[in-house]
Amino acid sequence: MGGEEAVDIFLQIQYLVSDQLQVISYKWLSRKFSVSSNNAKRLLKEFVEKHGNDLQVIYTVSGWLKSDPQAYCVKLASASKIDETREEFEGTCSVQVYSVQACIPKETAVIWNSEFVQAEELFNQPQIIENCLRDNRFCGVSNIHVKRTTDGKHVSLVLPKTINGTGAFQKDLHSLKPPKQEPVGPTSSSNLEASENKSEKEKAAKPSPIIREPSKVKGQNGKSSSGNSGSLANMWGRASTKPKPVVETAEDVPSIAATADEQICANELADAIGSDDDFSDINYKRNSNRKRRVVFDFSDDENEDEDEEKVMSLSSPPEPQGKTEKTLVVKEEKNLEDKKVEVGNSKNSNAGITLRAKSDAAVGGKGEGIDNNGAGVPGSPKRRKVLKTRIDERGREVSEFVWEGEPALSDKPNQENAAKDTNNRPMANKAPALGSSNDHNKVANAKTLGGAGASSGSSLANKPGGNKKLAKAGTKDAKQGNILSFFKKI
Amino acid sequence: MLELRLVQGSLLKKVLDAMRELVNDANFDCSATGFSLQAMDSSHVALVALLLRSEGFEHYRCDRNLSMGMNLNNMSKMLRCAGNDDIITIKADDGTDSVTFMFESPNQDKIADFEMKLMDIDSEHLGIPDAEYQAIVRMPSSEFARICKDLSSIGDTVVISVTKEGVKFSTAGDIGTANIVCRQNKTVDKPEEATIIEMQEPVSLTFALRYLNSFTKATPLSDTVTISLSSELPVVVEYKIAEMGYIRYYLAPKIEEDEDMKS
Repeated sequence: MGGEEAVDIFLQIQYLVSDQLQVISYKWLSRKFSVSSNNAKRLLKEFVEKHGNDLQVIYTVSGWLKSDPQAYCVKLASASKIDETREEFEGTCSVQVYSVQACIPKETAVIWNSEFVQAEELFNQPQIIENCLRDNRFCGVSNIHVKRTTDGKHVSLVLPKTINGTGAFQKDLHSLKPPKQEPVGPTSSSNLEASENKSEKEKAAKPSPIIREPSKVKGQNGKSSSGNSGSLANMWGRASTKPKPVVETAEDVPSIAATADEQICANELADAIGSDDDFSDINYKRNSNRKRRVVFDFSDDENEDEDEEKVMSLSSPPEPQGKTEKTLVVKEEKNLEDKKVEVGNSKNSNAGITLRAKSDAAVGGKGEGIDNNGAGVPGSPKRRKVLKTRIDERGREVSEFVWEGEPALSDKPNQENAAKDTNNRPMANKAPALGSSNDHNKVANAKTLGGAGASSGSSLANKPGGNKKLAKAGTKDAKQGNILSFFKKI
Repeated sequence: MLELRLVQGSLLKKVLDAMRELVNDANFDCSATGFSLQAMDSSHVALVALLLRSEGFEHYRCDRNLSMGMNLNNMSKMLRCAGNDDIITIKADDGTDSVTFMFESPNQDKIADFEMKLMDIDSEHLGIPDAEYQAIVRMPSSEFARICKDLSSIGDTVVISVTKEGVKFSTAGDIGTANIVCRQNKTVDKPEEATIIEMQEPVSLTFALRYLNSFTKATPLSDTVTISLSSELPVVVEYKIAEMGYIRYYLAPKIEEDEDMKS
């Protein structure tokens, strides 16, 4: 490796470590630049010597442990703890740079991430493309039964090994643990390297200054969460769209490709989720996953109505308390940007409806500006505003403000009005102004009646024109005898 | 000390299923004579009275009267853990705030203990006077359940009218009306299939079908149901529990339309 190349690599490492905050391990470096592991380690060592002040280094300390029985062990240690770690070893031990990073990660699994993602990418490459993992070129461990070619001609012979390797990956993926990369990882041809790889596995089970916590890999960062979001991709059926080309080229290992692509796809999905809003399919998927909410706010603060005649013609089933004005707010929770639909549904004893569309196209332009107000009607009952939440027929969570309270002392005018309303209703349905906003009105009315029915069934019962069911419920309550009036308490 | 051993454990499950739709929490009263319960539904329209006489238990020990407040749904959850053939033993010690249900499998190879916390319930015990009813109808319980179910799909209330001809159940709703007449029929092979009407004078009362439908949850307990009607009294719907006692439901009638008008 020429000095120039080394400088180039150094620049890249510097960029990745300081700007991208990536963990650069010798394995990653080896695969990335197709240098042997030993060379990669040497490069890292040089790099540390040059820029060691700005970064944190993790070393591998390997040798025979003092413990009995003796075991060959490779431990990872941060620069500060390296002396401490060395003391655990018998006699001399080798110390090499394992990785460089901007800071020692709190979550040890982070050390693995970039490496793992890289290994996956390599395995996900089409069969015909040779890479360092496929041909195992840096590995000191060899098996005479596995034949490898580096010229790409005998790909099929390479296959079994690759499948085995990825098999392990898949398993790990499913259990959401970090992959075992040692078996296929690039290592130098030296015996030391080989033994290190073996012992690295042991190390996982042993306490070391830096303990890898496999179970925590999940959700580390965008990349490592791929296992997790992979299942999301499955659910949304999106995995099938992207990976296809790869699957075609790599027919022999569809399962590998599928898993890997799901992951990549999931990653993309995760990345895209903020910006993909334009795509209807994605929106659709997201909607299915979210709770939508409708807020009906029936409030009293509407403006005076100028056109009472019109309002009457628009009347819906009479509003029980008679003089409530309602503002109906439909709010759909979608991602961060909520679409707000504000439908001013103003009612009074004449039960007029106003739909004020704020931003939702579905309601927009309908029934605008039929504000009315019957606040002046005398004898208004004692009421209070109550927030009620329920799930409506469309599965949305509905929070609504309804007026709750005793009926007015002077119920008569209300009744008359109510009766009028009923008479007017057929006409109202024909009123063109209602248009497509009808649905919303219905919803709103149902809400009002429902809420009021619960709170003041008796006042409802008095009104001939009310919703039939509610009227029934009201009358039932009025007519239903009480068991306590027949039997006395002992 | 309380120890009640019921060989037919599934019966207790059925009893619970028959009540828990109507009543959430209730006091079980244990005395030397038996295991009983009386509770009203939350709207005070219906009342359920249960009696399981001590003779019906294989072993019945109740040293002193004890009232145990239980949530019927929770009790039902526990009893559901018992097999259908299991022997159920209810145990409670004086001064403890829990009751233990012990389930033994028929061949004694499995014994399960479930301990449930008791609760304090302010119950209003009502005195139910013995009364002469103007009409008493006995009919197959499944038939009664079917009628209530069918009619509740048409209307909310049922008018039960008893005349010499038979008993008529009628309802009216938005979609139309329905009338079901059951005639007296004593000439059947099995006595439990008979419909028997004992009438002093004709009577006609209106009831909310919702409650009657809750009552019919007791159908598995008995093949026959006895409906006792009197114009001034709540209807009594009684399911006899074989050799043990009964479960009785009382339902206040709806006040007649014309009376309502007068008042």
